[in-house]
Amino acid sequence: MKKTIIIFALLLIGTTVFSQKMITRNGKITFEASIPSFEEIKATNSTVSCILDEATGDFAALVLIKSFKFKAPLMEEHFNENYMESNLFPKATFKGKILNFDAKKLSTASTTYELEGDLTIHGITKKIKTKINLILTGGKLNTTANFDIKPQDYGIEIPSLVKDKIAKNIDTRINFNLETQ
Amino acid sequence: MKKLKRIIIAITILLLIGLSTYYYIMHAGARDLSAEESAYTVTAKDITIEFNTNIDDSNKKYLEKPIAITGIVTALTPTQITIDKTVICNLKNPQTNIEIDQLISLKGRVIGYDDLMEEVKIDQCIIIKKSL
Repeated sequence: MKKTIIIFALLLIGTTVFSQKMITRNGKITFEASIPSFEEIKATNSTVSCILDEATGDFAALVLIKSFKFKAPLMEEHFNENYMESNLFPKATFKGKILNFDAKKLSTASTTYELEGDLTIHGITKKIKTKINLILTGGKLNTTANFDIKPQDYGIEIPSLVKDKIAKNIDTRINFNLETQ
Repeated sequence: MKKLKRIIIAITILLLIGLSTYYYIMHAGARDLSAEESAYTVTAKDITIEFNTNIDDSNKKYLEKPIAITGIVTALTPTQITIDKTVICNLKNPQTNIEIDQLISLKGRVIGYDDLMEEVKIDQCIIIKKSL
């Protein structure tokens, strides 16, 4: 009987200590594929979900393609229907890890880590590695990263007619404010 | 003098055509959800269960469709209402006169299921009805 109580107590401590999760539902992703002197191609999504496990550095994010907002509605329509096929592939996800993450070392000064994992866009998964900057202020963890995405890596075809007007490397920026739940 | 007049008229016409084309490209094609009939009328609980049981089928059924959805407000920001904890509705116009625990009906476009948070997301929401 004592043993089970101890085990239960340990389990309880275990879950509280080891599963501190920081989350957001309003993360921001912006990408830009503009080419100088052509139309600006830029979209923002500010309803990105993200979960960071403070104990392990596990990092997961999910974004719904349809909630990317462009300046021009027609561009948004083309993005959804012709390029991302968002009816077939409604989401893009990332599942990975912040390498050597140590929650105790977080501070108001920016610390940089490597983020590695699987990025799934348009139904195709690719391994990516990028730098991620973390700043902890007032219980909020500001997480930013900046990396390039090549549409062809994810089977996104760009018609030759507009090929010169869309950048080959799409500049992608993430900005999440994670909070402990 | 006559020539100058003609040139001015031609330039004005060209300018007008150019401007309207630009306007069309930049602004046309926006969807007006309020003018569309709801494809389905559901409760927040039911649609969450549906997405939870089978994401692919539910995606086929609901994605991009305008739906009418009913539930209790469980969280609130000026631009976003959460109903029954599992349906996130992004509002078309910011609202201030809504309260937690209110029974509410909204119309919006289904944009997908967030299986990380286990939430259904709807945008361009307008309020159809709310309890007092």
